[in-house]
Amino acid sequence: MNKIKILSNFNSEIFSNYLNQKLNNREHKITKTVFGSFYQQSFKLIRSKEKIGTIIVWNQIEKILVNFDKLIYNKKFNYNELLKENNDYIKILKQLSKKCNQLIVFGWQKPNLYQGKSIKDFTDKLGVLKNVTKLNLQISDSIQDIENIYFFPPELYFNNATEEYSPKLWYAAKIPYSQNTFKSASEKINELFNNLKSKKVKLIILDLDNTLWGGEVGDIGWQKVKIGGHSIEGEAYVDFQRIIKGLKDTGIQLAICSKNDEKIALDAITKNKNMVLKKSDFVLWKINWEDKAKNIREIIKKLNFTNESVLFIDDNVNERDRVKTAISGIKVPDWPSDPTEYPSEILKLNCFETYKKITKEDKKRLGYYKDDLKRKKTKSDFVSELNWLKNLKTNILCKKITKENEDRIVQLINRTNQMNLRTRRYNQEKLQDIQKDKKSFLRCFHLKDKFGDMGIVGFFNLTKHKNKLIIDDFILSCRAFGRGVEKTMLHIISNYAVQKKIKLAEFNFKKTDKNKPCLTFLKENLKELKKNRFIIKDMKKSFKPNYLKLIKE
Amino acid sequence: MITENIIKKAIVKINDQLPKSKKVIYKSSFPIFGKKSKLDSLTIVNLFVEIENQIKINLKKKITILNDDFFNKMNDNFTILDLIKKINTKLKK
Repeated sequence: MNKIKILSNFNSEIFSNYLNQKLNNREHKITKTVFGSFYQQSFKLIRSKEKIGTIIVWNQIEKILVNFDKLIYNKKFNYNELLKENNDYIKILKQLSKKCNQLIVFGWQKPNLYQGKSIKDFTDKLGVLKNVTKLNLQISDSIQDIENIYFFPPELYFNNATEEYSPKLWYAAKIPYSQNTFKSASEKINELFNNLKSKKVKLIILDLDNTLWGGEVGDIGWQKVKIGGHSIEGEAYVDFQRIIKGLKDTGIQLAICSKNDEKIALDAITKNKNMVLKKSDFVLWKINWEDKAKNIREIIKKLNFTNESVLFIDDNVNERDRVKTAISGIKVPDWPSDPTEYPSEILKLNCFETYKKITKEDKKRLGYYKDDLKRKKTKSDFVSELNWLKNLKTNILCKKITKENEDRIVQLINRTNQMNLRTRRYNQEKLQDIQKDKKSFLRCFHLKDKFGDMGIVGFFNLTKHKNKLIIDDFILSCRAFGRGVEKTMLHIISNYAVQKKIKLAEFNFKKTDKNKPCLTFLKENLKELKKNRFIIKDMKKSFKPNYLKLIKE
Repeated sequence: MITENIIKKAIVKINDQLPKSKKVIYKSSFPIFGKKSKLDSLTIVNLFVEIENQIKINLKKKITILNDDFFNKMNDNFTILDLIKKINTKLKK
C-alpha cells in the first residue's frame, strides 16, 4: 500500500477526491494535512521516523513567499530576499524527498487575482508571470539531480484556470482552482504512477517492411523503399526512425525480426542514404522466413531479457497476434495503418524510462550487449565453464564512489532486482549522506575482459557497528552474474573486516518477488544463522576466484 | 423546468469528484441542510457556486445564493425543492 500525503496551504479536498478516483484504492491510501500549515506539517514529517510512499506538495506562491505577496501588491520588496525565500522552500523540498519514495511538487502558478504588468508582464522586472517562471526555474534547476522528485509546472495541468477561477469558492472554502484543474492534475499523477509501475522496455524488436520504411524491399529493391525524400510517408518514416534512434541512445536495445531475404533487407539499411538507423544501431537481427514468434524467443533468450521488457512493433496485425499469443508478457501494441501516425504512436506508449538520467553505461550499453554475444559465442568452444572464464582474462576494478560514478551507482540501486540483498531504493542525495557517514564503507566494481569493458556492474555499502559489519546494500547487475564479481565483493568485505579486527559480517536478506538469485548465492557461499540472516563464516577465507585479476584503486 | 435543469447540471459537475457515498442525488426531497442532510459544508459550497456558475452560463444572469447569511441558516431543513423555489424567486427579481 502506497501512503500518499498531500501537503498544501489550500483546501485540497476536491483534489484528494479526484486523486482517490483516479488511483487504485487498493494500492494507494491518501491522507491530507490541515491546510494552511505547510511549514508545520513539513517539519513534522522531516523530523519523524515515518517513511511515506509519496508526498505531494502543492502551494500558492503568494501564501508561501512573503516577498511575492509584496510584489503583487506593488509594495516595496527585496528581490534577493524573494530568491532566498524560494531557496528555503527548495531546501524543505529536498528534505522531504528523503522521507519518501516519490515527492511530487506542483510548480508555482500565477495567482488568479493578479494580472501583473499586463502586456509588459513578461518583460518587466516586477512582472508576475516573469517572476513565477523564474522562481519555477530556480526550483527545477536545484532539484534536477534528485531522482525521486517529480516537478509539475503549471503548463502540465492548468486548463483555462483563470477563466474557471471562482472567487467565491476561494473565499468560502479556500479552494483556489477549478475542478477541471484538480482533475487534470490527478490524471497527471495517475500517469506518473502508471509509468513508475510498468515494466520498462529495454529492447525494441522491429519489423522492416512498412514498419521502418514504406514498401516491400524484396519486391521493389532498396533504392525504391519509402524513406525520406519529398514524400508524406517517407518523412514520417524518417521521424519514426529518429525517435527510435533517440531511444537507443538512452540505453534501449534494438533488434530486427523480419520475414525477408537477409541480404536484400540489410542492403536497404546499409545502402539507402535516407536511413536514419544504421546496421550498427542493432544489437541483433533475425531476417528469414521462419515463424516470427520463434525468432523473437531466440532474440530474447540470447540477450537475456525478460518478455515483459520487450516491445515488438510490426505493421502486420496477424504477425502481432501470433507474437502476442505465443510469447506471454511481451508488449505488442496495436499499430496504426497510416505511417504518418507512427511517430506520435510510439511516443504515446509511455513504457520508456525517458525521464531517467542517461549514464555513461547507458550510452555504451549497445557495445556491452554486442561484446556479450561474442563472449557467449566462444563459450561452446571450451570443455568447462572454468576454462572459458579463465580465457576471458577478467579484470575487476574495485573503486571508491566518486562524483563521476555516482549516477551509475544510483541507477544500480534503483534498477537492480535479481542480485539485490535488500532492494533499498534511494537517490543521489541519500547516497551522498551515506558516504559522509564515517561508519560507512562503500565500494563499486568495474568489470573488463578481453571482449570489452562492461562498466560498473556491482556495488556494496556496509555500516561498521561496534562488533560487526552490517551489509546494507549488496547489488550486482544481472549482466555480470556468474563472472566472479559477487565473490570478489565478498572478498573485499571480509578483507575489510579483518583489517578492522571485526569478526562478524552480517547479511540480512530481504525477500522480494525477484531477488531469489541473491538468496541462492548467499546460501551457497555464506553461513545461514537463521532464516534470511547470513554471516561470513571464515573471514580469512579468500572468496576471490583465481581466474580473475583484482585491481584496487 | 429551467431551474431544475440547471441544478441537475451543477449536481452532475460536482458529483464528478465526489466518492460514491457522498454523491448528491437529484430528488426534490433530498436534504441539503438540516438534521437529515449528509452533505458536508464543502459540498454545499461547491454545489451553490456551481449553480451560480451554470445560471451565468445558461441564463446570462447573475444571482447570489451563497453568502454569509446562507451559512447562518444551515441548521434549518432545506431540500432541493426549497432550493428550486429560492432560485426561481431570485430569478424573477
